[in-house]
Amino acid sequence: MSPAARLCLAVGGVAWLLASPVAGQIGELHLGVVASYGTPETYGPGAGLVVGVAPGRLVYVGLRWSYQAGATKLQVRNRVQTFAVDLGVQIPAGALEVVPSMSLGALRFAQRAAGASMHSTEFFAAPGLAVEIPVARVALIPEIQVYLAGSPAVLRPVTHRGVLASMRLVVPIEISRFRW
Amino acid sequence: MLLVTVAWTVGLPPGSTQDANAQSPPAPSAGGRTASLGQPIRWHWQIGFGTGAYLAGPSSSLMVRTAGGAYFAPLNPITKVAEIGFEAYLGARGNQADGGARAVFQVPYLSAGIGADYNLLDNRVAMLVTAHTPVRRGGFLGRGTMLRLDWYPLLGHSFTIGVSAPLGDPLAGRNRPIRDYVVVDRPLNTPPAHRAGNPGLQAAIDTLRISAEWIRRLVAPFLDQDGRNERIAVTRTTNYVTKLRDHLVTRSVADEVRLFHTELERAFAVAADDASIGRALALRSRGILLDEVLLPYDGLLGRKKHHDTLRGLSLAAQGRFGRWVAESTATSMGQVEDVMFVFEAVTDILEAVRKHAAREWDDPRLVWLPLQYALDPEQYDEQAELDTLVERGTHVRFTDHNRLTYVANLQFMSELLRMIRETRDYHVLWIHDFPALDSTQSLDWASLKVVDGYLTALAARVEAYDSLGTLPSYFIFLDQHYYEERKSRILMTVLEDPLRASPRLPRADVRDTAPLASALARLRSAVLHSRVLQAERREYGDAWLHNRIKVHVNITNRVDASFWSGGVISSVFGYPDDVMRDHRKISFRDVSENDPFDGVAILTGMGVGKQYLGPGWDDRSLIIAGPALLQIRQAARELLISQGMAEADLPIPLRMGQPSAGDVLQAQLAALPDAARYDGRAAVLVNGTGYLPKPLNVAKALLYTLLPPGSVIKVPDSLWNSEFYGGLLVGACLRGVTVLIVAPAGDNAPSSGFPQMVRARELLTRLLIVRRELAPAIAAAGGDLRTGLYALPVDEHGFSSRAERWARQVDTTAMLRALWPFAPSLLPMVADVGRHTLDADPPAGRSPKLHQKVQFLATGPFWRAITASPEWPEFMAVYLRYRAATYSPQDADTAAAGLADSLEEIAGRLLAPVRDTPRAASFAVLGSQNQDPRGMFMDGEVGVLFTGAQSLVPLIDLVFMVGTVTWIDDQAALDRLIPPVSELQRRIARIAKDGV
Repeated sequence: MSPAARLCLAVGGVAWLLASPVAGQIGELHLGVVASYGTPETYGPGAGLVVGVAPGRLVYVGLRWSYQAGATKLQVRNRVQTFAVDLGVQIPAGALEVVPSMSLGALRFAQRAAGASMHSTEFFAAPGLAVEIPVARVALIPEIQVYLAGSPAVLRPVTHRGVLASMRLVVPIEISRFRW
Repeated sequence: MLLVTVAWTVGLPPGSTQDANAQSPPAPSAGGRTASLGQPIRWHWQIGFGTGAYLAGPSSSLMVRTAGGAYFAPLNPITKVAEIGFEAYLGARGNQADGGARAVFQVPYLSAGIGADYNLLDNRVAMLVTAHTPVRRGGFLGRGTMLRLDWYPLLGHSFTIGVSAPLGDPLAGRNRPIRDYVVVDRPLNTPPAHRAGNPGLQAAIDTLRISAEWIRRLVAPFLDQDGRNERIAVTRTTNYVTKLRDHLVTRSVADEVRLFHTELERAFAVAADDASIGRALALRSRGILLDEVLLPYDGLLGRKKHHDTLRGLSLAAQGRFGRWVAESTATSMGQVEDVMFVFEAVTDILEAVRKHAAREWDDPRLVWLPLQYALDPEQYDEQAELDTLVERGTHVRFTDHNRLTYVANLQFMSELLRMIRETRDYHVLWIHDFPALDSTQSLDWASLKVVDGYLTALAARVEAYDSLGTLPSYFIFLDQHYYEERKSRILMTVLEDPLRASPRLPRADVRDTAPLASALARLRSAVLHSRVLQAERREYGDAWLHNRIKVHVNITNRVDASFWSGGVISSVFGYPDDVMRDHRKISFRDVSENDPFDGVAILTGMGVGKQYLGPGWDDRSLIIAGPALLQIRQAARELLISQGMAEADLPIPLRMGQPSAGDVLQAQLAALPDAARYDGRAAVLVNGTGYLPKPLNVAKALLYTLLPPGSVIKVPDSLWNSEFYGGLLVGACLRGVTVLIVAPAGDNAPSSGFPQMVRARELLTRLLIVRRELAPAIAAAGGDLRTGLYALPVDEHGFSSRAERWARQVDTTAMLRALWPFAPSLLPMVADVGRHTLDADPPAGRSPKLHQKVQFLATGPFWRAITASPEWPEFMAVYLRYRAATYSPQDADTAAAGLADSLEEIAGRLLAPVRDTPRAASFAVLGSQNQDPRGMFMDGEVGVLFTGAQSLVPLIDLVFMVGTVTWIDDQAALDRLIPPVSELQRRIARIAKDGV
């Protein structure tokens, strides 16, 4: 098992243990993992971690890190890391929550070709739509996003814009209101 | 002119609060001016200084700029939605002179805006993003100053950062408290914990701990559970209530309190090795805990707290108890440590209870430590005992010798006009709504009538000035929120300068302007023809004259960008103080410390304006004369000071006078022609706006949690959303109190936005759960819990429709007939009124709105004694005549005042046999505060707590109102009158619950 996978499992386990209802709660803390697949070959399959809060379960503000394995063709290997702030509005629809969302952050493109490697970091915005499905004490959140990233300065041009589908598995932990 | 310019630049406009002489300004009669807050300025000028970097050139350059400009809010500025501003700036960029102008659109709620910046040096327009924050309450550097960032994203991210300051606004940064919290505790010392030498103590302490937690849950049960959806939330409430039920099967509330006290005595007895000494120690410890811990902490109910712990209070209590133990000879030296260990353990238990409550309610503002920890039931079952506890909890004294008259809303208007007319020295109208325009955007005739009342009274007094030599001062305190919302500036401008104001008002027709023009002309003519006034004008100047002949308008709680709370840093994710309003509604005149019987006040739940008149608005007022008015007068002074007025600038009529000695007061009372009617006992409880003290909350909580078994509490309210007050009343039922809660149905709610209705529905749903699950426990204690909805239809036949409804419902509602043994004797009479005028009155235009905030509380002996009185038929007969006389403006009857007096006389007869009844106590509360979190946390409120015969007039009114409401026994009935809403709306309502 890779270190990333072990980290994801550990976070998921801790979150599971923390998941207990509180009486005066008004929001939720989400801890979980994300698996994703981007249609541009630069992205490909990936996985990562998410953490976020939903004050009043009306809005969602979270952080996302994911590592997209990309594709290797003609000895050119592409990898992308996502560092994003996720913003969403939670709209209850029966047992589900529909969440129009926007991720903002940075993509770190990495390319290795002919023994040379190069990195490029670009800002990106990704409007999307997610649905939160409660399943027992966890929630599954499938999401479709359109990644709009700047053009990375790498050795070989890559497709950096496109659709990315993901599935989050989060443990919602009820929290009281924020005070500081 | 130069002085005026300088004063304006530093923020002290002529005629402002700052222009009076510092110590002893001359009286208006000697050429002095009366200071007032005036009306808010429309254009907010500001000046700023900033420095930064210009990054768009080949090399970066230092930028230094001074900017000045003005901002204007096109919408209600309180909403903080939009502001438009224009600025010019001068400075330097590198070694070149720099300048330009910009237009900015800001969203004040976000403390940010966007704009276009034309720079002379570049000769082009650039995009500007601007943000500001006060950093700390009152301003970055005080006086409303802001830390400001200007960012040019398209100029290579050039920026300036600096400070901006308001100009010409002396109140900026001064009109709210700098602290948005109260410091509970800063213990000066942390002594080492006491150690128990006796191992037997721990068992008693453990029992105390468990018992204390149950007392908390039973006295103030938490009913506001949330969940992912409504179903889960309701299930959680049910689970919570079920646990209470299971506990009550084994031990009632009374038994639990008894157990706590017994165990406390046992613990001290073990520590002192003597049962009688243990009892004495327990008694003394409870007294000290009440004085030093429970009452001081509960006195902060509804306030934001810092250092929220009982440690410091407990330490003071421990010191006092330790001193007493050391001084007494009952406890041997060897036992002192054990005794102190017990006391310390009890304070630790109270701290644990506080923590649990804060966590459960998710809000430290709602922590109430039950006084049952310290008090035996016998210590709060008499009127005098309850009065004293209220006084100790609120720090407000009851005063005797007040005359109190309870009146229906229609009388408020006539009483207000009469007060203005009869003012000799000064008059204050302290109101939250004085609309210029009604909902159709036409001039509000009722408000215009009050304006006319002011002008006519002023004219009459000016006409008599040459012979009398005195002029009254009129003051209006009006909160900015509704002032903006209802375009009150139109009328306030006339009142503020009647010698220059034009009678041509916007949206006015000739019917409106003709009387106004006539009143203004009469006043100006009177001024012109007053030889004395003209002579004084010659000496003191025109400005003095305009200051003398005016209504001193004070618009309070003004928009101020420098007061935020709850933010990560100041305004960032915070909420502004601007959302907090002054909800008090009082009119008073002439009372002073040296003659508290001179003058009168009317305290009400309504505003000025036509919407508050007539059968469509169910509201009540209280006319007060006597020493209680001094508490209102004091509150008026505190209001002006809290708004930024210096104490030295307070208007002379409102300054603290010399209180009269007791014998002088007796003489003043005896000199009154109706001295016998000054027999009311009352306390005026004033909640300051925003983060100021909230004694009214404390008084309510104290009475709800202490009224003994057998008591009756009736609480109607237009905004019944407070889960906290609801929880306390559930606790009262569990102790054996009969509680009637009445809220308006959707169609009858004056404020029927979905957040308010969602929260009301949530509370009522949970009260239904309580009724269902705890019915046996409540019945076993002798209590009852009833929730009713004021769901009255349009009065098809005027007041007779209500009488008919009362007779029909009381006849068929067993609970009401059981509660009111006198009801059968009233039924034929009320039914007759319902039939008698069945076709006489025309249909009212709309469903009546419940707005009366009148509560009645009585102990069991009191209730039993008065309900057995033979006076009820006459009481009801006069009441029906009074209501008919005050039902609608068309019916306005000069007999109403006489009928109100008759009601008081009958109430006196009703009370007579009760006076000698042991443990008979009663209270009525009338005021502006709703049963909602906003009223508890945010708004300025006032309530009069009164006892005696006058408190029975509200009772007959409540008997009539309660008889007309629809009692809710199941969820379906509730859903029909307050329909359920979507989950999204439920969540929005919950997150906004503190503000609704």
